[in-house]
Amino acid sequence: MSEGVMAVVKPEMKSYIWLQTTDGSIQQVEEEVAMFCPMICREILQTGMGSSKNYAISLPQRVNPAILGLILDYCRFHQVPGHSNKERKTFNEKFVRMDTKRLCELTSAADSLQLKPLVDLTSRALARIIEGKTPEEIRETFHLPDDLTEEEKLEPLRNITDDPRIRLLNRLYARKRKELKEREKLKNVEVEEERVDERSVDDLLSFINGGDQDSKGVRTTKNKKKNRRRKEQLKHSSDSVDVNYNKELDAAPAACNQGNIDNILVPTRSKTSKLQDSSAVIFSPKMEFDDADIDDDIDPAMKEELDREVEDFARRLNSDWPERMQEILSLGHERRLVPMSINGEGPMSRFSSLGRRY
Amino acid sequence: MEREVGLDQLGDLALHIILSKLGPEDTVRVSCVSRRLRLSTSEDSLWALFCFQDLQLSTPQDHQGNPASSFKAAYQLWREAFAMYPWPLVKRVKRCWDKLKNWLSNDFPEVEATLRSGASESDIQQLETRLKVKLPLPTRLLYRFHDGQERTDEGHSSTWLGSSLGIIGGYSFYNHLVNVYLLPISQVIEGTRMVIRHLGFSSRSKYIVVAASAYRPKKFFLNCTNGQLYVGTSNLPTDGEMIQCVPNALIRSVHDLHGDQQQDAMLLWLEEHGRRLENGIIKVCEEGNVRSISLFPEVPPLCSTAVTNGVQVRASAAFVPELANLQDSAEKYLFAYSIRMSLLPGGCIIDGMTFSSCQLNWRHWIIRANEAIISDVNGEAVIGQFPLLHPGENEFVYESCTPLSSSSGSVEGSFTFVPGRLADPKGRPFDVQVARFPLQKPDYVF
Repeated sequence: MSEGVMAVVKPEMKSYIWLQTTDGSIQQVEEEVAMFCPMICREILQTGMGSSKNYAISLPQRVNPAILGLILDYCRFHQVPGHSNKERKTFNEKFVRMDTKRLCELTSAADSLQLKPLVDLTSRALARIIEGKTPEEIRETFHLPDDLTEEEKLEPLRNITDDPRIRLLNRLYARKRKELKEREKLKNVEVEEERVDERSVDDLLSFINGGDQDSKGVRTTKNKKKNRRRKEQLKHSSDSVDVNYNKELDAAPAACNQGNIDNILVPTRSKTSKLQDSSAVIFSPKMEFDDADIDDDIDPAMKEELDREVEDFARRLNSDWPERMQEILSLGHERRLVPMSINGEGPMSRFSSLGRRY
Repeated sequence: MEREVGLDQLGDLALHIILSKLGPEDTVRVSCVSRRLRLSTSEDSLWALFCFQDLQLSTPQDHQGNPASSFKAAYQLWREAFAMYPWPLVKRVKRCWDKLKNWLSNDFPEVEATLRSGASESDIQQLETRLKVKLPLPTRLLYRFHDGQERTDEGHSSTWLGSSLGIIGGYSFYNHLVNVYLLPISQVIEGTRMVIRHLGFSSRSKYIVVAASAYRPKKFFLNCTNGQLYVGTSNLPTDGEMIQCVPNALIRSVHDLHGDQQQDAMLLWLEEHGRRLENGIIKVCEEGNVRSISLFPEVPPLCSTAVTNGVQVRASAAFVPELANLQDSAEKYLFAYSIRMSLLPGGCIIDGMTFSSCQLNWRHWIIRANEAIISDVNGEAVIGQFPLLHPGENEFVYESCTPLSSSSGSVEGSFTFVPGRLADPKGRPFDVQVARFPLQKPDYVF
């Protein structure tokens, strides 16, 4: 009998489908199990392939024999209509217990076979792994390249995170940018027109990495003085409110009613002291995103230097964070509200002036 | 040599599932991992999902309704605009306003139109500077979304219509007409200063006026220190007496920027109001040609219904804090009640005979404080009227009030009707039941 003849029918009268993985090896799989995969199902119905060893269905590249085995296990269980929902759930929970690398391979393979339920299952498992991790942790877990600039890494986190480190680093960026600009301006004789570079950071990066020497991109004039004045105003108003507020806290909380007290409460000491800590926090973030709309008008070489400096700072920050926190917390309670100054200061004094935030 | 399949190469479907399950904050962290992942996380359909989940947005727009270039941009604009607040609180405050506005757009669009657009941070700061207070966080956010209500200015008869658009609503009985508006910051400042001047509040008190009625002096005060809301009683001018409006135990962390547990009385109060409107507990009522939100409940258990011989009577009461007098033990609280009577389409049926009209002659009330009967009165007419009922007409509605020494009680009674008319009775008088309805000082005082 030639091998081209129809599939050998086993004594149980089962039908089998032949599948071939990219490494060349061919497997024989029960028909109902294989048909559970939409991609295989379609191949069979549309092209008639898979009925014998010579006409095995070629599986996509991402499906290697080991992974195929897993996928077929999944299909074998789920294609049985008799299982209850609870049984399926239990199976699924056990099924996805594997290392991250394998989970990724499985997801990719399931995706290429269009096996949506399995993609869904493995994706959710991956999401549970990723949840709550920092970008560095995610990079480590999945062995991903670290190919973004420091600033690119921080930018999206600006408004999303509560992490004081991120806010600190963003602030540092803003400060440094300003410093560099001021330094640039002093060098530059013609300061008449302050130009704004509105290119994205990505553009700048490609520029640095050997793009066009001429500066492309839109340049518009903007009134920078207005920005600065606005910031000064903000600073003044926030300062004055802070000062008033402190006076208020020291004054005895005056209840306005001398009569029936049943339904009226008088604020306690503990509440007022809590207010003192949080009052500062309301105003400093405002300072922060004013800083963040500073325009990028810096020499790219300086930008790299800035990146390196901040990366360095970030590393130092991450290493002695617990100590710093202690320091800040102890400073915070004694410090009065102090206006932030813009001159380049060392990290120590920056910490102390920010100490009140914690 | 096989290359390892990275997280960034899983395929679009898988990545979309992973990122949607992770949510916006984790997605942003993923976008900081590598260049390829940054691309995957920029897909706008993902951000459309987040915008919908967090903010119920179906088109990309910023918090003032201006269109944004993409859902991702919109989400970013929202986060930037509210960066100084805990995001869960922002979402909660938005949901609170959305619930109110959804109801208004269906049932009372004239009130929705009075909602002013959000105050800016500097507007709020001005209030805090001028009044020397610090607003609780949830209240700040409430103002960021809407700066109170616009009220057409006094002077003409059309004003009266204008002043029935208070979002909190009210009631009227005898000559006591109340309709409560949420005040914009400018009026909060002015109103609070007036209260300090005229009512002798200390200029350093932390109470600010946040809601008030146009006619009768009903004023709501927010205590900025503890976040509780109070309403002035009849002793407000003399003793600064106020009743708290929200259960104390629910108020927490009003000035705490961290965590997501913050709730102050304003937020809780408005959430409760939204809930009552949404569930039809209170509705828009029309009196004369004027529509307003009525605080008399419309559904059981607070509203009772009884049908006798074809005459239906619905009855419910509302607590009237501004006329309470906590120093008077006998008449500490005042409750207004609304009685609505109508003749069902089948007409008035007595002993198998049908009559096409009937008229009220007497009333009988039994008023209880707790379970003890404190009043058992008989009298002619209701508020001096003898309503004549025909089948299928609109309800005849009237309001009256009763004082009560305790915070809990009830009213029940009956009306004596004659079939036909009083001037021309067609049969014997019969009693129509007014089923018992509660007088209950509520947990949330409006």
